[in-house]
Amino acid sequence: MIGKITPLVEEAGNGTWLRAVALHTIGLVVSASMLGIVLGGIGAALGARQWGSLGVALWSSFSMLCAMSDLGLMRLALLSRQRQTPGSWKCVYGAEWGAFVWGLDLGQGWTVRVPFAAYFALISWAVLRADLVHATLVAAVYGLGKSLPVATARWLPSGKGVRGDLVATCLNLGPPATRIAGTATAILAALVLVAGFWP
Amino acid sequence: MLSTALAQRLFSSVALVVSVSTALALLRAAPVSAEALEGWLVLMFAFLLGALHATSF
Repeated sequence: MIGKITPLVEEAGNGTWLRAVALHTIGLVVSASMLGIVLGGIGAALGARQWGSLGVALWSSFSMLCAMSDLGLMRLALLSRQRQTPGSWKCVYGAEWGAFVWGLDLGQGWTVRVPFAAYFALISWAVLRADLVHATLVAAVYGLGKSLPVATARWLPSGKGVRGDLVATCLNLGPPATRIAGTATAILAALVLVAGFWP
Repeated sequence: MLSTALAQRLFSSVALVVSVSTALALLRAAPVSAEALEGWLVLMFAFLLGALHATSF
């Protein structure tokens, strides 16, 4: 999205860029919140809250596997679609509402390519926690986090090429991002395990 | 000489062990309840993951 929304600064001015970023953020948060409600609802329907220590152990073990996969220590088959959000939506809905629809799509996470297993650790946490409020809040924050690079990319230095393309290339962390996600997942899994068994 | 792949795995393993050990030590020393800490950590984790997801394509 950095490559699509950031160039609006030069193409259409600050006002359009700001509205596009705001609508994109709203789309991300609303969509992710919906995902959180569904995941929390699934957890509640499964009665996951009653699982107690078993749920903690299950989540921590699964998350540690996800972490090891992201750290390159093992290979976990990811259920990921090889899809990217359509760039044509900018033409269909316009620069501002196109950004909103992109947000709705990307806020789900699973509708596009999932680059790391840590995402599934987050999803499973929302299910196993079986708490609609917590799951919705965490998912909404996930959506908010997705908007941060898009909202800040315009202030990164641009070169001779199109600003968005350059910034997008600079920001594509790729494998390092996967390593960071894996490390964060491992830390969280260990903490939840400790907190769950030794409160 | 270590191959690059092996060196990366070694680095990842060490980073994992150090990170987890540090996190566990912090949890034991933290002045807040484990549940509250977990809540904040999951929120931070979700935010970080979102930001990383937006920069990995």
